[in-house]
Amino acid sequence: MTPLSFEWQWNIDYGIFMGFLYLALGVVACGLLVALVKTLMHMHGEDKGEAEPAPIPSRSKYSEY
Amino acid sequence: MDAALIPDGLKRTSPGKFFLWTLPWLGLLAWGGISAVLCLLLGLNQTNMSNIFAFALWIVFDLVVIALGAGAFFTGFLTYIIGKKELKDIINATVVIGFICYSGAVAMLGIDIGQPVRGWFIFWHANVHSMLTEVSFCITAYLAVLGIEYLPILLENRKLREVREFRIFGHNLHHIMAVFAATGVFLSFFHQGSLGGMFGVMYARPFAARWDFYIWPTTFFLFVFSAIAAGPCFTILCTKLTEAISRKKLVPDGTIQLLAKISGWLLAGYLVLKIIDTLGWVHGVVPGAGLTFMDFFREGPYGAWLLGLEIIICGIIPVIILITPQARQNHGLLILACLLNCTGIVLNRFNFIVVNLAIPVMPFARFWSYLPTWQEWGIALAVVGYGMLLFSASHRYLPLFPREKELNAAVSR
Repeated sequence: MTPLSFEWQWNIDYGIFMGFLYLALGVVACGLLVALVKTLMHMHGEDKGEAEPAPIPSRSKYSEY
Repeated sequence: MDAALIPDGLKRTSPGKFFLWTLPWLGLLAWGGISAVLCLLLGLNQTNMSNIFAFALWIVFDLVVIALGAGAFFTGFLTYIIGKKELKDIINATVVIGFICYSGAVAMLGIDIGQPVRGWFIFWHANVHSMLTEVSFCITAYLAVLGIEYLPILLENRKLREVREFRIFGHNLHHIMAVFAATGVFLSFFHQGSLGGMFGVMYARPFAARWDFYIWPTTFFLFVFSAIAAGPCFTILCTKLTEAISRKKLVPDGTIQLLAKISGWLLAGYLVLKIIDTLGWVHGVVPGAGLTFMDFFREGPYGAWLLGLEIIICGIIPVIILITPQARQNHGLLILACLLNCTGIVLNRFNFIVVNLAIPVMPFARFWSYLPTWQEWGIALAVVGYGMLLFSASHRYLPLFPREKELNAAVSR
């Protein structure tokens, strides 16, 4: 449901309920987007030879994260 | 045959033995598949659910697996937000367990709603005054979060890691994992609570109804508390079972002890609140509805003993074991305490669902009984089969326990 749906009512119940859902989904989507953009930038930078790629610690060194 | 997929330096059983191990779980999945097809084609008349038992075995299983899967969000909270570094040795396993529990629960709900193709109605035509709507929102959103948390573990597979893009993406995801963990904590807190709150607001059913604290009934907080107390114990049980089957040490004792201690103190806190709540309910809500405590148990197979079993045997005994260092260091006692703790949460959810619905609410009504059909058992047990398969495959092909190599170095040599 969005504010454009016919059932939507402009009151606090709808604002809180749907607002928190969209907030959580927004945070998750932004997190994914950041990871994706950072990956693309890293790959692009490597292609141009601008930066030395940072070593990627393997999962076996998990405690170093 | 699959040696190229097994993590570097780790030994796994032969593909043939692994296939044999998966057979019973594939059998459970097949049973569940047949049951699901029957329910979807012929309808929910394949079950023994009725207007009285609209919540039945599937909802008991749902609530139990969701509570036991709480180890994922709570361990994530302790690791990424509180900064308990020791728990990094077990966090991967908790994520996989959480993912299995939540995806299993959502799949089971897909059958339970009868018409899965209309499942999206709950999101698009949401009733914003319903606790179940909030539960649906949070469970599905949290399943997505768990999927994202699972992704970097999956991308650490030996073959997938050879793809540079995957490796870097997994690494970047891992760096912002605290954001996902915090979102997961928020979502989990509210759906665990709302699952309990849903029973607390059943004012027409004095067996479940409780008084409110601000806008939430006390069961809201008790369900959150019980889930975070039992979730870590379920993680310990899964880890110990994997250690026993693979005959390897997978997690350092210190990590298990820390998790057990945290679980013990949380269970102690929960029990104090649960006992206060139960006494308040017996002396407040129940007489207020014109009943006495024993009125609930006049008929049927259930009795006050279930409550005693839940609180004393499956509550106080595991607390004593888990908060006493000497007791929890004993391997057998630790397993017993974890088993009792998890059984306690099963009984708690069973009481709130099946016992609650079986008890008549009108003076002229009778006690109702319910026994699940084989189709209901099939779908519920398919979640167990699916969980065993996914966890076994994850253990075989992914670095689920990052200290495994180090802990078994002497044996490998």
